[in-house]
Amino acid sequence: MNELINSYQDGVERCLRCGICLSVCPIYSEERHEGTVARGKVHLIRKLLEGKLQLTPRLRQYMDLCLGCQACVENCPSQVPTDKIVCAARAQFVKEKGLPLVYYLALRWGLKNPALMSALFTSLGLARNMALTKLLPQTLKDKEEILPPLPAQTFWQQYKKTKPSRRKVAYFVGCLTNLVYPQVGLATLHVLEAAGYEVIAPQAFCCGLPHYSSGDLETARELAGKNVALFDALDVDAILTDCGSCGSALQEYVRWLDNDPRARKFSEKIRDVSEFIVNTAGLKPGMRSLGRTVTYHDSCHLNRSMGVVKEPRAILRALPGVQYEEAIEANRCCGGAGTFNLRHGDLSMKILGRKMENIKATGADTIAVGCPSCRMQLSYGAKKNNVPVDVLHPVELLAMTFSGSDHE
Amino acid sequence: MDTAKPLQELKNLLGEDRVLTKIEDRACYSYDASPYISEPQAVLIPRDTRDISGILKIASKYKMPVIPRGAGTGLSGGCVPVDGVFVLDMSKLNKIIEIDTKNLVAVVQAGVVLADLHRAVESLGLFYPPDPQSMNICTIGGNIATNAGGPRCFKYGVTKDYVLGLEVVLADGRIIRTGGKTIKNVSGYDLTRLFTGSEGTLGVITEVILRLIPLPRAKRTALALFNTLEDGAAAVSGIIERRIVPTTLELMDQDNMILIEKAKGVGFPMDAEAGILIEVDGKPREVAEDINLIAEICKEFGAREVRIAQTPEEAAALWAGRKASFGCLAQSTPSVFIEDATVPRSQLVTAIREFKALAKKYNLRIPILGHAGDGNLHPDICFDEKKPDEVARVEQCIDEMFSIALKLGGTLSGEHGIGIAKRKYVPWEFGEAGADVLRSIKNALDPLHILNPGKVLL
Repeated sequence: MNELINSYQDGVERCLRCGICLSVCPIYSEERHEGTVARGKVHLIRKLLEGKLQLTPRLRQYMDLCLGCQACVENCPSQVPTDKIVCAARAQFVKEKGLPLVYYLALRWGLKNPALMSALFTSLGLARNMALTKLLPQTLKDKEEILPPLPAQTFWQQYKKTKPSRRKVAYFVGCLTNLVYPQVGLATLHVLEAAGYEVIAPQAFCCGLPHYSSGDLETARELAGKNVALFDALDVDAILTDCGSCGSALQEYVRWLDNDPRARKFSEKIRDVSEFIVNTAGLKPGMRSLGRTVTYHDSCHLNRSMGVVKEPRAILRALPGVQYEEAIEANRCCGGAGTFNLRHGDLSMKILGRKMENIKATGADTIAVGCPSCRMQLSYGAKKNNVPVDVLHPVELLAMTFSGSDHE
Repeated sequence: MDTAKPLQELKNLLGEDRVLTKIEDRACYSYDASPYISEPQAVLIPRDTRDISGILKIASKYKMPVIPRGAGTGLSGGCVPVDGVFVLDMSKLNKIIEIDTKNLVAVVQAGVVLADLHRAVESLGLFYPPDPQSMNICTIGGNIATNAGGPRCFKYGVTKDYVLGLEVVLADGRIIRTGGKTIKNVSGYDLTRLFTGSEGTLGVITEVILRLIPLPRAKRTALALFNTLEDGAAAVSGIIERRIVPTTLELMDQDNMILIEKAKGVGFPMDAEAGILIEVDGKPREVAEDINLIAEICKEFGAREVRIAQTPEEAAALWAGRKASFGCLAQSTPSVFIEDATVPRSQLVTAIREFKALAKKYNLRIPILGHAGDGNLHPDICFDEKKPDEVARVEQCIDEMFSIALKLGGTLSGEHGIGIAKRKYVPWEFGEAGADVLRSIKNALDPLHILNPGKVLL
């Protein structure tokens, strides 16, 4: 019983219930219910492991109410790994009670199958062009609106190999970069090529994070295994991502795949593209002045999982014609959290509202962010809250400084 | 007892979704930050004072006990729901109603988070000094119910010194207002003070009028390290005798400094018995003079080293060790009682020496932090709640600790309150007659004993 959670017994018992997590949890600050914050969740899991609670729908509801932002973990005096405990509990629910149908379709059918995903997104693009989305019921319309305008062509449809070079680096292109923000992928290729790198980009599978965080460990592991195999033969020291969420998952493969040596090698090579540019390739912005006031939003996965904080800011501060303004609570979750915004619309919008207020206060006309999932949420927030800003990846801004750049 | 009827009436009053009875919800409100855990019958989520009045009328009718709960950060079990009580979750009453800059008062609801109040008044150049360590989480209502303190209270006084008036729902559901916006008010008995520190046993505090003062414009920080506790304590007395009143005088003992240094490497010496963080606030020129004078005094009294921060960053670095102390403590022990026995300042060293002797006698680890200016000590008694023999030793140790504090002319609790943890010692401090007075007050205001039963008084 509870075999997927048992290993966290020591972790849940470490909680002294001091309540420091209450001060940093974005969900608690809106809901103010103990079940929504680490202290309550950890206590519930403790009771579950003691056999005093069962896997009930109510318990599942509370386990579901977590952004995975890890602000509680970062601030916990006793270092309780609440994010991992919550994911283990979700996995236990999936094992005992199964996946809800919508999840089943999305995770095991859609996200697992790149061609199908591409087809679905194309259909959505068509439906939008024909204004068919207007016919959706209001609740679905709100959700559909979170997805930004789709590009005419995916990343892979526009992909051109970079020039051969002795210096090689691999690039993991995530689902959202391919389908929604191909320009980030193109900018990444451009910047790395300019720095003298040959970029090897195999057509990867979904990183598996949506599956892992929904408790579908089985599919997460399957995808991880496929991706490890895909990159295993490449003679590179680093595998780059432009997405903090993908990156954090790829770094976790070694744990998902039970310390498999090939997975370890893979996970150890994973690096964020901004971090790689600053610390390895060398940051050499072009001459073109951007004339922008830029602020930065920390993706929780990029910040707290991958530990990338300084480098994207270093890029932004180095760009010609960029005035950098740090926002207050820059590292507070935007409320997007993968599919959290789709599942908990109102709550997500409240969390986003606070984020947009903080961004507005900087006077910035541009938000830089290193994660496409945050980017969708922030773009939606800008639209909903009438904050006139562009939301861009730091690497896109970097690419814009090159003369003759077409990354505008 | 049959709870179906009162529950139905409560649901009629509040709505179904504001009466939580599922085991998962009750479990989430079964604790505070102390080691005590016990589940309530139900969690009630009132929206306003009228809801609370209605709840207490129903509670009186059925003799159902209720207990107000802010954010559950108490350290003595004050809001842990013993005996299947109903928890009143006060967190939705979280409006700052008014910041009156003409009269220098704030009017706030009980569920307002202290740090939110701090931010709101400080943005207007005003100051509400009490600063319990949980200030980013705890609520004003809880602060008043426990008469909370904090490091700054040596200079500025504690919560009760800032409460000018209250709105309170009585046990029978009637609503009263005490005090008002005036500093001076001597009409009748001082009911404001009576409810302040009453730990939810006399009434439910719903709204508060707080006194504000101008925000000091500057502060300076220094860290003084002493070879012996005696030197450190003498320096503290020396500073005060020279008529300097620092905002904070935070004492760390050797056990704490070793714990922090091993975990964080902040540059504490392992062989010093006392480290004292000193902060002064006021006008810029004044604080610069004061901090240098303090450094001289500390050296005069044998400080081995005094570090004065020249920039806010350096001040933050000096604070880093002290701020890390709870984390370091938490990682070093499965459970902890954070006590707050308080003695007159002149007895500080004696108390620390005697508490250390207790640690040895009962084979327990007890690092001590303290607010050296006001004699408020925090002996942190580390133990493992899974080891019954250790729990028994902890109990004996705490018994002796409180008898020492009282013998030295001190008190059971400087700032955490009695709650569950210290109720058996109340007659020690008050005497039988004194405890009788407490009981009479309780009986007068809560004849049915439905307000936070089993707390403060046994």
